[in-house]
Amino acid sequence: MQRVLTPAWWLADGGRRVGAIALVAGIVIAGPLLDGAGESFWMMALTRALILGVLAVATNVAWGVTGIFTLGQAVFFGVGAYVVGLLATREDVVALESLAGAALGAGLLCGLVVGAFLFFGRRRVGMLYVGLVTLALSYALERLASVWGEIGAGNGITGIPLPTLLGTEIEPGISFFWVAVVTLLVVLGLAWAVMRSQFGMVMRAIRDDDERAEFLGYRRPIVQLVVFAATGGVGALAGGLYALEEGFVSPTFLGVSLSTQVLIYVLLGGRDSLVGPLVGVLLLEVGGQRVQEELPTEWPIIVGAVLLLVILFLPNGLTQLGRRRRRAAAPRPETAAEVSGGDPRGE
Amino acid sequence: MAILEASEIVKRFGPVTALSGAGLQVEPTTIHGLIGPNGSGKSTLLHVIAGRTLPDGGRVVLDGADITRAKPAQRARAGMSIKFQLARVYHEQTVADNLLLALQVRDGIPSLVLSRTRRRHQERVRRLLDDFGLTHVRDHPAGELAHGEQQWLEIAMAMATEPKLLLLDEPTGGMNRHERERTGELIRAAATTCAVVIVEHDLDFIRDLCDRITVLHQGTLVASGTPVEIERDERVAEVYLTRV
Amino acid sequence: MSPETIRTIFDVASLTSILVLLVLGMAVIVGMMQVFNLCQGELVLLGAVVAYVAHEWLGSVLLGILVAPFAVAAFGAVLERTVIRRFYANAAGALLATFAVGFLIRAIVLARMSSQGEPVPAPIDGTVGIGGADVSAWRLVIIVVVVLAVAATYLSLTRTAIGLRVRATLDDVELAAASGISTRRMFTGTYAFGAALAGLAGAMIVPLQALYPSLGFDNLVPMFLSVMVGGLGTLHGPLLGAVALGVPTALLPTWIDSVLSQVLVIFAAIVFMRLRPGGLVNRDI
Ligand SMILES: Nc1ncnc2c1ncn2[C@@H]1O[C@H](COP(=O)(O)OP(=O)(O)OP(=O)(O)O)[C@@H](O)[C@H]1O
Ligand SMILES: [Mg+2]
Repeated sequence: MQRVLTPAWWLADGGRRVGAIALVAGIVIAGPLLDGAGESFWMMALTRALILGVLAVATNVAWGVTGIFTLGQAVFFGVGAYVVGLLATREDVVALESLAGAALGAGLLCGLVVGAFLFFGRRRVGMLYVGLVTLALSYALERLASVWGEIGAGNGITGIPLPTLLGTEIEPGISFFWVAVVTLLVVLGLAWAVMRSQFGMVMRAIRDDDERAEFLGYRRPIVQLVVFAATGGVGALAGGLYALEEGFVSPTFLGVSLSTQVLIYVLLGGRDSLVGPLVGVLLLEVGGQRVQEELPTEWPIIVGAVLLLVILFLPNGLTQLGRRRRRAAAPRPETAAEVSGGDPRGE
Repeated sequence: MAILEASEIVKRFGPVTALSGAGLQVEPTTIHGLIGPNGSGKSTLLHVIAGRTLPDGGRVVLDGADITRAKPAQRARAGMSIKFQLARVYHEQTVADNLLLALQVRDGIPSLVLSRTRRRHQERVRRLLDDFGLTHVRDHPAGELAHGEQQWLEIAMAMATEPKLLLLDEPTGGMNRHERERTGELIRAAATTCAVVIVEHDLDFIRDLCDRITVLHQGTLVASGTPVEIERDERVAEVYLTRV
Repeated sequence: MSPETIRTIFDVASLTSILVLLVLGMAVIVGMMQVFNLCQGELVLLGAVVAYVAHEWLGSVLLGILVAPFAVAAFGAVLERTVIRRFYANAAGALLATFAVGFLIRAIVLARMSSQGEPVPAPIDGTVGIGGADVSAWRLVIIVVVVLAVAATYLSLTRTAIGLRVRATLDDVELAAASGISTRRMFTGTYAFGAALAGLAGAMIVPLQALYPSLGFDNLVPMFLSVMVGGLGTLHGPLLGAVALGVPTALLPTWIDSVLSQVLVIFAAIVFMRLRPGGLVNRDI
């Protein structure tokens, strides 16, 4: 603990730590400031961005840290949103505690089912298979939801009322902003703790060389399943909050377009970085709103071009810019003898 | 009783038969050399023992338990460690963290999430760093290590959990004479507590180090015995002489 | 056979042939080159754009269809030289980079048109009577073109000197380079060839729908599933995969909802790939 109080701790990592804390602090005070200035439009944009930020942070833990190449994270988001939407409109559940718990539980369950299918079994599946299956699930479920009359088909679910928290009604506007901020802070805190824990080391080990980890004795499927289910649960929680904030759910919440949007947040901000995905979300959702007012048609082109440049030149995302340039890791030394299998006679 | 008994192992890769009935029997706390010309099936036999590939026939028994079809993680937890032909350490994690990774495999996920066992393993990490001469690089990313040091780190990781059986595929590949000697010492020290199987091309190194040697040729066992017996064996001489 | 049956058969053949046409370029790029090309849908889109532009400016969709493969091939060659080339050793990087390229192309097309779509007429419209059933003439043309395109692709890869060199390069780059093949050019050329086939597909199918930005992207998942179900490493694997997915997707709607049948086929494909990761045709045993 006392390390936290030394200047060295604060300045470590090229000031990224300070940057991250400043970013979070800035978000927290931005809400009341915008509210005070009567900018409720921007406050709501920020609230939405924070909820998407929860989804992005969870996706980053699964993909950026553990290497589970999930291209369909919207599936969890959509499931959470539909669960909350259905409970709120059909079963008259109004308590945020229950709704959030239900969304989280539904996401966990989906994560367990899909994860068990993907990760267990003798034949290990490749990363690209995981990507394709999750993408295909997102695609298929969006289509299914858009024709399934029971859950509103193409119209989705509308008229979702604002929930109550601890028995008191949440007002539209700033109160919901606080709900989003608190959720985001809790999720960020958990992600931070897990990423720097001993388990975080295991997650990265599985990302970087899962076979090696298995030969050390790690049960890869279990680690992947735990991460996939947990991040799925958080993704569903985000979807549930989003449904409450917007007051409706639509099949697009499950779809490929949102799934790939999350990919863009994480790619832009930076994989395996705590606040990177949040930076990505804020740039696109809040900054983007602003630019889009001026340049409605050019904006997606700018996003696409920046994304391509980031992938080509900053594979660790925009937050890499703030990082001290790490010494390039020594190239893996490979002697000719190893590649060819060596000389049996020796010297 | 033998700690490892692999018998009648058959392994085919499509049209290629890599192993046709080869076997290996290893006694506790001995160093067992596995030699043979290129492509004779040494690595494949090691992979079958470690569970990287499943054999098409035969049995692998570790300390009395049949593990022929067990998954790699199960084997590792049953006391088997492997160092691959090409060093595979975690380049982005520090040397100390690589060792911690090896040490904490049996800790449950909850205690890993709460980082409850880091301190408990510190002493062992320190000793391993010391034994393998890696203390000066403990906080460097493993990717920055020199080639020989990476090999040592991987051997240290393999030994971290005090296995019953240590499998080393060419542990001295690409090392100079001095590094080889050091590796020999480390392996000898390891063999006081566990059995070691070494695949090597350097016959002098093997002769000095091993208690027993098994020779493979074209996927079958040619001979198995003490270094002296192997040196005298005509079939072994033939294998090595007819080879171009 | 009753006209009803003929109609059904024709519909199945039409939808399947469209999927095969869409997959053909992907069979070359993803199946043979093993580049996980997420912008394949946008290469299709570019073909459709060429057809649209030819229609708007020159009043001839047919001309657009003839030019599209060449235009998209040129684009593919540039793309391979600037982007794809960096990622041959990094499958995940290729996937992300091509995703970004696709996103960018869609954004550019979106900026120039309404998202409802612009209709493009077929060069031949009207219907043809087969055994008492009236079928769309353009769909019939597509079926014929698909058969010809598959045959031409297959023959050019197996029977021509350049095809031989392409396959040698994809089999073993170093060996091919050692035997004097310019492997860099082979990679560029192969990618461009796959792009040309995508361009042809886009130009051919745009009259059936309309030109809209996600024309290709909407088909990406079925296309990718076809390739993976069929198996990597060969040309015919992905095409078989397209048939395996296309026929049930076209046939099931006779009994159940068409979206539901699509979803069922996708789920079946996912499970199939899990049980048989190599796909229908697995070159590596
Ligand atoms: N994954 C594989 N697929 C196909 N063939 C393989 C595979 N692994 C090994 N082989 C073949 O099996 C035979 C035995 O190979 P192995 O690597 O076990 O030999 P080795 O004795 O370790 O040789 P070296 O001294 O070169 O390391 C060789 O003919 C090799 O080509
Ligand atoms: Mg070998």
